[in-house]
Amino acid sequence: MNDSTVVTLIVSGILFGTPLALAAIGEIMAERSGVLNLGIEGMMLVGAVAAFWTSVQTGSVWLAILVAIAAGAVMSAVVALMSTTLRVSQIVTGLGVVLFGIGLSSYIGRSGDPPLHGQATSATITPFLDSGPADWPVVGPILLGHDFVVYVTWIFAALTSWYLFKTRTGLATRAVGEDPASADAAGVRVAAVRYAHVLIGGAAAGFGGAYFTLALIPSWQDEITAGAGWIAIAIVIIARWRPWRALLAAYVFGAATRLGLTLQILNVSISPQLLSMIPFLLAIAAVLLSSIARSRGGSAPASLARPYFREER
Amino acid sequence: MHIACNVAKMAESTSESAVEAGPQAATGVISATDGRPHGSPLAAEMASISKSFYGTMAIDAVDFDLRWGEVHALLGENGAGKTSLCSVLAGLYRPDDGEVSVDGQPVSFSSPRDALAAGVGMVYQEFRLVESFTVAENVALGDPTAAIRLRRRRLERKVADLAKSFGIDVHPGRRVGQLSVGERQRVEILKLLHRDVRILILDEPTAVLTPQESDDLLRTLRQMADEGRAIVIISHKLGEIQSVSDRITVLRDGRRVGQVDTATSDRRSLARLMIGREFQLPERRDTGRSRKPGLSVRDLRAHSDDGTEALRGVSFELARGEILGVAGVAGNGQRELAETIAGVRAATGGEIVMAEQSLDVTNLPVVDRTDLGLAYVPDDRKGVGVSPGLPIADNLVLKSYVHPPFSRGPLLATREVNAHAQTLTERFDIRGVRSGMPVRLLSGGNLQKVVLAREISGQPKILVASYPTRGLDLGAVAAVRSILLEQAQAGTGILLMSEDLDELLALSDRLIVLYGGRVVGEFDAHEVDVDHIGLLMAGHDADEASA
Amino acid sequence: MRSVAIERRPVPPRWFTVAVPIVAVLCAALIAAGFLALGGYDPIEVYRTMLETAFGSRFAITETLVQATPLILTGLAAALAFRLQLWNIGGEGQLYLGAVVSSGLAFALGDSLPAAPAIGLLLIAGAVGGGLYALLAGVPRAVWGTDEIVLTLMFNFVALNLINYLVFGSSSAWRDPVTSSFPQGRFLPEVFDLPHLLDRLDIGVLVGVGAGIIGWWALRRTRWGFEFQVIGDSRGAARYAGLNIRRKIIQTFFLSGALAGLAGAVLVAGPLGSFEPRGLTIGLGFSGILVAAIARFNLLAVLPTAVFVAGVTVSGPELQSIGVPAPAVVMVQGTILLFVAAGEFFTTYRFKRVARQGVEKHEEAVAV
Repeated sequence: MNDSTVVTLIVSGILFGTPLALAAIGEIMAERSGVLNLGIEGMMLVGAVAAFWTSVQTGSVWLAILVAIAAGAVMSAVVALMSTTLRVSQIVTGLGVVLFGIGLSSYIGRSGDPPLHGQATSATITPFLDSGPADWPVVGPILLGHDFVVYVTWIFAALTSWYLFKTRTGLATRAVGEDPASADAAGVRVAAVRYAHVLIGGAAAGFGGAYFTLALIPSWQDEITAGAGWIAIAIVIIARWRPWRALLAAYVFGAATRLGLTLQILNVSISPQLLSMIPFLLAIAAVLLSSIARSRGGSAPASLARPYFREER
Repeated sequence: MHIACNVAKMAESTSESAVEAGPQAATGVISATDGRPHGSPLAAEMASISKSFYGTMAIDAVDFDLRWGEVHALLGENGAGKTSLCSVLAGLYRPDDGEVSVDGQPVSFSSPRDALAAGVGMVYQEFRLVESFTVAENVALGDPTAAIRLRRRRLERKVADLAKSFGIDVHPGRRVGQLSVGERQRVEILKLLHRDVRILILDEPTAVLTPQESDDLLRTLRQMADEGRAIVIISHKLGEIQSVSDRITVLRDGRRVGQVDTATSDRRSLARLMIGREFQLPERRDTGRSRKPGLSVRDLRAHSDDGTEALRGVSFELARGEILGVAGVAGNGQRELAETIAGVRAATGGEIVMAEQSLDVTNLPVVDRTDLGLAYVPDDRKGVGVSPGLPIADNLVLKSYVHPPFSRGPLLATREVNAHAQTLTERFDIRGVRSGMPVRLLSGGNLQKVVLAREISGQPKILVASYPTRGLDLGAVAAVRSILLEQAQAGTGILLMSEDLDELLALSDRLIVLYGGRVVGEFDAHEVDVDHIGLLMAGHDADEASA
Repeated sequence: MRSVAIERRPVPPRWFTVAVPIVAVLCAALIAAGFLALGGYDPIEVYRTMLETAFGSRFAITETLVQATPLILTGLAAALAFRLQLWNIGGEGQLYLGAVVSSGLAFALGDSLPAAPAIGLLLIAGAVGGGLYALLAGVPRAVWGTDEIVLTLMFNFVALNLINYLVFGSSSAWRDPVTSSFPQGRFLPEVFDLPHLLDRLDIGVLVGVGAGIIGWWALRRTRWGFEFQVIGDSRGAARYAGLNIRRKIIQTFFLSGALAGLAGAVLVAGPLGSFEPRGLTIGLGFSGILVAAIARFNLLAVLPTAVFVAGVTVSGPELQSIGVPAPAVVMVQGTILLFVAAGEFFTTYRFKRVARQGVEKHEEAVAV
């Protein structure tokens, strides 16, 4: 394995990990406020198809991204409503959103004349720098040669990390996730906090989905995210609800997804289905290790997935 | 319409003023100590307040007024509506009917946030502190005047200063989860003072304190009132109410039945107002104990949930037919002691012996201990003592279902189970039961009867009763006490844990004091010096106490 | 300032708990009708087609029951696990593994046994396969408290790739040795064909119904069932009573996986007749969760609910022929799940009026 293979692997990891990171960090925000949003996979799919459709129809990348973010936010508004106002099962809600998202995205994918499936678009996300610094060895491709979304993800991780642990509002948010009754008694608006953070998570998931169809695989096919949303949820746990760790874990998973290509280069031939298993097996191993070595670095927000109702007696 | 502390102005004028203890400029809610007048001599007025839960009235058209500079006590037994009324004032509950005004202005709080902004804050019986946060973080939580950026050291310094200025002893950097109960209460009070609360409400604050800590607290409250604030203290303890309050309002069954000036009040009439009739709680009559050996506990050790050592070598003897009271402030190992003896928690050292049969039960599972005659009434009746969603019949065989006649092989004998339930319901006068109804709908007293019925029906040799009368109204307390006394009479050795020293003294033959996971004192209930016990409960050495 | 607030409902009346899911489904149907109309289709036409395809003739009914058979089993699997707050989302994967193990056994045994024991072994193999696969998530959950949602989900994907690998990615025993140009699953020896009852309906449906009835009865009448109910109701009370919660978790995961695995076995021996991944990966695991949610996790209620959901699914191909794309069915399923979940709000809470400044108000709670 020579240098350039390693570099390629790292770059692939960053690229394919970006949608995972966006979704995972967004989910961290939601879960830190106490809401388990299992619907990410559905939101990513709808974001992906919405972005692609907009790109094909309007030729504007920016509009496509905005539409994807909006789509994710709207879907997560449903999750917020059901979890915070109606206070019903977040697990069943999440699954409902996923099913709906899978159905809706495939439906939209088939609509239109000609259907979205076979379409291509030129309004995609491209790296800032095509040459020059981007060609410097190692540092070039890994740090400098990316499109803006990768850099946005880094900023997202930095912002959320600072927000959660260094600001008063972040403190209030974490309090809502740990002990909403105490937060409420202290004057924190529990419902507002939960709504806000779930929406942020949904918007991020939509954005992540858009990255699939606008950058990674600029086309559309059914279930194009192939479980990315679920891996993002695993990443949240592996990262122990910390944004920087989630970023790192996402990149590792991104690399795992592309391991197949790397192995091909090395003339190791393994059946594609077995290769596809890798990210999932990795997630299983990581989650298992993480729970065996419990409470090193933090545990789940104590009130995660539990509805809060003030007038308990 | 709210009264909103003009918070934005505060933040502008003194940008780091979050922790200054001086008077604040706000519409109408102003301390008398800065010389400016209040909007009204009345700190708060509640007119004809009603509130119901699940269709039953918790408070029914209650009037309540509070003056600046006074300590006003709200007296009543459990369930009288004291907490509900104050929760309305503190913004936690919205009243179904009636009006509230603060400092002369009508208010309608839709959340505790509004109440805090108006200068009204409450310290609840179950503390509202985030256990995994530090003291400073809890104090800063939800404070709209705090800076956006959390700077840990600066925050802790401010909190330390605030604490010192009020003479409150607490370390801002410690995690609340590691604090004792008394310390947590201080943090709660600190939180409110930090938000410059002018009307302070405390719900049964001395229930979790040693006698000396109680005195300190009451003294602090008196001082705060003298400085111009208005204090409401909820309690059912006549003695301490009379020592600290200016006026007393009595509630009974959700209605206001009287209001007196403390100076002219007397205990008997207060008690009568509170209870509605002449009432005497059952007490222990010395009847010559059997002295038969019951339970021997030697050097028992166990961990608490967070891994720290909760029991550090507890030893005592409990005789059959004796009631042994366990005194101590909550958090010194009482719950762990009860659970370890019952078998719900694993012992890490020492031994528990059923003395009559000389059987070491230390490592036996719960089922076996139950079969050997060891019963346990846990302090959390709803969350642990019963399975709340299941009907009463199932709950009454919660431990005995494995035995005939309740099961035949792998099958349950439902007819026998139901018949058993019928018998026990009658014998223990459990009210409010409808067939198939989930047991959580029963009132606290009846729920406790279910637990007792189940534990006692097997004629246990030893009964561990953990805070059995907590949260019950007087009628239920009397019933529980009677049941316990009867059992002792019938030869059961009872280990009784209670935070109410009076109750322990009234029911026990002997007392032990638990502090820091050890027994630090042992007394005969008739030769007891309450002050001495109080010192032991607070951890002072036995020698030091008698010095 | 609102004049209406919510409070907890003490106990909902029985008819209410049945009515709420039904109303939820109707609401979802209405919303779906709206979407259909937006897409240019005639909702009435669509629903009429659906009803006809599902229940319109003897053949339709048997077809619906054929679809319902595995769904009953995955529905029971989900309901059982969810009642202990064990979120086993892995029904898909457990079904696949049940299919793998049961058909593997069939291939190994060949024609060596007569029908009755052969089928019996097949079903047992399917159940054991699914059960053991579920334990891969269940044991970590019981012992280390590992999050079972993520685990079971990941295992789904692993199993999916496994069955595709067996047929499309290799020349394993599960691949049909005959056709080499276009891979497909191998056919089971005829002895394993489940006997038919009517048209395409085979005894698999009896397996499903039997499992449901036995399960329901066992929960109410056996000691195991009693412990299960206590643990599902209150972990605190269960610990207090000395029940072995860890063991129950493991047993429940096994049973849940076994039921899903049984569904896989019933599929390969019944309507599929072969180990065909494309016939297995039709989302039965998730539909099972949908069924369980609508049935409010009551084992007996799963039976009619599965038939209903199967009726919705079975009309898929018909709808496609009138131009409604297949994914629409999935959308409807998702919508139903959301409305059913939301419906829980009405069984848990009710509305009451509260005071507003200076306005006379009633004092009783207003029940909804």
